[in-house]
Formats: sequence, structure tokens, C-alpha cells
Amino acid sequence: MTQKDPLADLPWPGATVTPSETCSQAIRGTCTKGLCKERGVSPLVRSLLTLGLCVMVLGVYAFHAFTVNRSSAILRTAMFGALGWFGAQAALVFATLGRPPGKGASRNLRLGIILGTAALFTAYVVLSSTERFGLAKFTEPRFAGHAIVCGLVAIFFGLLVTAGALIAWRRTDPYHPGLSGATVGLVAGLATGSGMTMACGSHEALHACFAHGLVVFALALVGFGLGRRLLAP
Amino acid sequence: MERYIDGNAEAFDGLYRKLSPTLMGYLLRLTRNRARAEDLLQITFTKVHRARGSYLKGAPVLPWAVAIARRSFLDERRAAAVRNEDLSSDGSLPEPRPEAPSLPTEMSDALEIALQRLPESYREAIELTKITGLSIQEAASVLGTTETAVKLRVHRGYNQLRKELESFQR
Repeated sequence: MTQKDPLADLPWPGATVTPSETCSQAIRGTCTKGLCKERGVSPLVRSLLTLGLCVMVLGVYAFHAFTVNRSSAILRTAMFGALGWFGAQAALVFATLGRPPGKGASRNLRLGIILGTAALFTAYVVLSSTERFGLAKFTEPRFAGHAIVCGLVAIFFGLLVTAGALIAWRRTDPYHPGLSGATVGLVAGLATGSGMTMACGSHEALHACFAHGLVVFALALVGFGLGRRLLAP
Repeated sequence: MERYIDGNAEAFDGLYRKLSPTLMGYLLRLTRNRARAEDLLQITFTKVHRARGSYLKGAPVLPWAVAIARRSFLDERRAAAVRNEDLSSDGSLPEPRPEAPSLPTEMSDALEIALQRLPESYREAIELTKITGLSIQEAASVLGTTETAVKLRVHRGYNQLRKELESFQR
């Protein structure tokens, strides 16, 4: 004899509740006052705008690198690296931000992608460095000062891209605005970090790690905070 | 939704009639307070209104609106946690805490209490799929997880509910 499942005919609470007339009137008043046609730009245009900002920043760094006449071999390597990372930025933008809201990967997977990409980029800038200093030498005022200036410049350009892209994607993600904001910050960080590898004269590993690589984590964090405010409707 | 975005006020009325009872029911289940639920409903529709330009043509409206309602609730709960106390209407004394539920006499009461005892992740998954009527896929997008995870949460939640309700029936 099979036992009856107590959940089969449970008196589940009703799904619908009618709001009060006062509440409905207030909402109708707010939402229909001065109502006019409003069509935002498509996700494709927003994606292209985001990548356009990255290209602009990379252009500024490349211009600086050419004007200071750095060794062409090093510059060429850095430019190939920046080009490769631009491909990663485009993939991130189209695969996460460019998809319809709610259709993307799960929260945990997106978080993994963000942290994994940032870690991969930091490893790339460290491993592609041609010099290795000890920590004692790196903390000397001359080297530490250079790292601080580089880090600040990278953060400044990264913040410009982050702010511009967040405005482009404003109010588009009610599902996970923080994660989308972190993705915007990550993309901006990759642009400014890879641009820095072209423009910066230092090829030292600790300098690259702190001033070019870890900036990506900082910008992803800033993007997370700003995204929660700007990307949610 | 399309006609509303194009500036048709009558289309908003249709949209409101269709969405508001479900959203109100959902918010009432989250807040367990009618006044707060109505406040959140107003906030939700204000956000829907402001974000209508970014709505994707052809996308399902209900999960999008539920996601906005859920986020409004979470923001409000976070702000209330910072405020620490719910003040009375004159802004002076804390509101009395709701009393602990008495022993259930009806199955519907028992179900309500059993639902409240579930871990939040299980309860949310059951409420969105079983009560609000979203599909597994839609619930997964609202909760930011995979469809498998939602199915697992619903299954585990059902098991826990079954145990609670069996003890009530005895």
C-alpha cells in the first residue's frame, strides 16, 4: 500500500493579492505621468560602446609608448599581448554583458570567471616581465614611487572606462547588477593593465604585479560597488 | 510591455492589471506586512517605469519584474538592518515584534509555518516556482543560479516540508 504524498493536494497559499485602490492610483499616477516613447539602445550598441572606450584607452597608452621611443621588440611584444587581452575583453563583454539579462551564466560561474581572469592577467604580467627584484629593492623610494605613479595612472584610466561603460549599461540588469558591474570593472582593468604594459618603461615583476596586475582586482571591486547602484533599475 | 514602452498609457493599465496581483502576492510573502508590500510594489513599478527603455523586446516580463521586486525587497531589508529598529509611525518607539506563531490548527496554517521554517534558499525556490508560478528556468535567472540548483532546492525543500507536515498530521 502506498502512502499518500502530503504535498500533492496541499492548500498552497494564493499567488495573487490585489493591491489597495490607493496604492494602485499612486502607481498609475507615477507611471503614466508625461508618458512618452522610450527606446534604449540595444545590448550590441552598449557592448560596442564599452569596447570603444577600451580601444580609446589602449590608443592613449600606445601613443605614449610610441612617443617615448621604447625598444621596438619590447613594444611589439606588449602590443601583441594587449591585442590578445582585448580579445578577452570582447569575449567577456559579449558573453556576459551583451546577453539578455537573466540568460547568462549562474552567479558562481560569473564570479569564478571574474576572479579567474583577473588572476590570469596578473600571472601574465608577472611572467612576461624580464627583470626580477627582491622585495627590499622594490620598496626603495625610486622603484616604489614609480609603482605608485603607474598604479594611480592605471586606476585613473580604468575608472574612466568603468564610469563610461556603467553609464552605457545603466539600469539594464535587475538580476545581478553587482556582478555585471564587476565585469565592467574587470574589462576596464584589463584594458588599462594591458595598456600599461605598453606604456610603462619598467619590466620588473613586482612592479608589473602591483601597478599593472592587481589594478584589475581593484577595478572589479569598484565596478561591483558602483554596478549595484547604477546597473539595477 | 511593447506598447507601454511606446508611450501608451492604456497599455500600462493592462500591464499593471496583469502584473500587480502576482507581484503584490510575492512581496506580501516576502514582507508578511501589507503596508510594506504596497510600498515595495510602488517602488517596483517606479523602477519598471524608469527602466522600461532597457527592456529587451520579446523577453518575458514577469521574471524581469519579479527580479526588480526581489531586489527592491533585499535593498529595503538591508537598509532596515542598518537602521536596526522599526520605529512607530510617530518615529519614537520601536514597533512591537510579531508574536511567535501559535500551534497550527489547519493544514494551511501548518503549511505556512513549515514554509517559514525552511532555509531561505529552499523557501525562495519553492515560492517562485510553486506559488508565484515561474518556470524553473525563470526562477533560476531570478535567483542567479542554475536550473539544476533550483530543482535541487525545490526537492530538498519539499522533503523538509513533507517531514514537518507528517508530524502535524499525526
